[in-house]
Amino acid sequence: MSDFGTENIENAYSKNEAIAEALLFASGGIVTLEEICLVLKVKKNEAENVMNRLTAKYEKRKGGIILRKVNNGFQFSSNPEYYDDLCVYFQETATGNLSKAAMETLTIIGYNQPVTRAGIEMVRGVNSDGVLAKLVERGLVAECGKADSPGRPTLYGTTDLFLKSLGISNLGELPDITQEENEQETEN
Amino acid sequence: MSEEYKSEINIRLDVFEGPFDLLLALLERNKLEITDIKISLIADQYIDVLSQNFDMEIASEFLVMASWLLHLKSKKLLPKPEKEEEEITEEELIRRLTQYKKYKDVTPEITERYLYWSKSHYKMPEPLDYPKKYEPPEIDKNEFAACFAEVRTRYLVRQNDNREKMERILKVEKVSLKDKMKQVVSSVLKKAKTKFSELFSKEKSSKAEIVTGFLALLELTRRKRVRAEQKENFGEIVILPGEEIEDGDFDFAGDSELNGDFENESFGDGLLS
Repeated sequence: MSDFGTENIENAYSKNEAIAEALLFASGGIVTLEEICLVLKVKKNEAENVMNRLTAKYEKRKGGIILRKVNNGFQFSSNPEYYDDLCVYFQETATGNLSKAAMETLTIIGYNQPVTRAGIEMVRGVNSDGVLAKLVERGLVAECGKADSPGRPTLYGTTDLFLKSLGISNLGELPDITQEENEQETEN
Repeated sequence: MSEEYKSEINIRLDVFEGPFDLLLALLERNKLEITDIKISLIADQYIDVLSQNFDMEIASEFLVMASWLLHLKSKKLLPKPEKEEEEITEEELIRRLTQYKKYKDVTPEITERYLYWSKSHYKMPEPLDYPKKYEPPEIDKNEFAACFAEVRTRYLVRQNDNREKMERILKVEKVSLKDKMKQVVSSVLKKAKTKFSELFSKEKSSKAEIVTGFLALLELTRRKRVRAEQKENFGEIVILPGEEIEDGDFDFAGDSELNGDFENESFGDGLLS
């Protein structure tokens, strides 16, 4: 594809890109790379190339619809930049806001998953039943197993919605906090 | 505690997310790093804030930390005992504070990202008339195998595994008098002079086997199939062919004593030990 000369042609879609775009639109949900491979009848790395080019096009376009990578899949979403403009049309609901405690808990789960309720409370120093239930209700956090410790307490982890709500495609893209940890270690 | 500080301190407890949050605020107020926390000063201020907030609904969560701080403060005042073995140490407090601060510090950035990106809208998959041809498995096969292995391990640990014991019991069951009698006769036929200890050595045979073997020997001598000689008490028993030695199966049919009581008799370890 490197032999596309002018900018104009660069914007042209290859057939696979167009198919992938149509697939994402038709599906609505998160479409995994495996599913894209299946539809395009190509190998995984070729599907990755297709999606990279498609993603680049969407990034360049800066339109109202953006292409999001979530874990191993892709999904269209509206550009959050224009949320306020849409609010003229939609009635704004207060559901979006989470309390400070909830955000703190969400952060701790994000970096420590899978983690038990006791594990969260160990870090925060306070009972976290309420906030945890809230996060689960919001779909940002979900049960993801049982710990192998006495009583087999429930483990919690973050969901795809968590990634989407933070604008990241995987947990590795969370803001780095290990740096500070190292600094503190050397200080000690 | 300085007067200036006292007038200044007017902290509402309910704005804090927890004891660590309050502690960090107090440290900041005193311009102290976590690592050089002044326990007695901070403890005083902490208790001060607590006593200003009598609402136990909120304050209860802060009480454990208060006792922790007081414990640390009292330790500073008292002569040191030989060894510290409790987990309520200053190092532990610093470690917990540092850990909490790490997440507290990144929370605003996470919140900011959350506030921005949750303004993005998604289309739910439409209920189409034609079903998906390809349903991706909800769980991939490696994950499934790992789960299965885990469940199996747990199951094996939990269940009382009796297989080994059962195997032993089954082995013992096999030691029947009839078989032992055959064994004695066939080895006497092969070798005119057989030592009992060679047939049923302590090393090779189980206790049940030796006892059954001895019973077999007694039964065979009674039937005059073999003769047994023992020169001295507890000495070696030598087995010799008897008057009616012959190979082949034993006819127990005519022998009600054996048939009824002995044929399938076996001697478990449990009986003997």
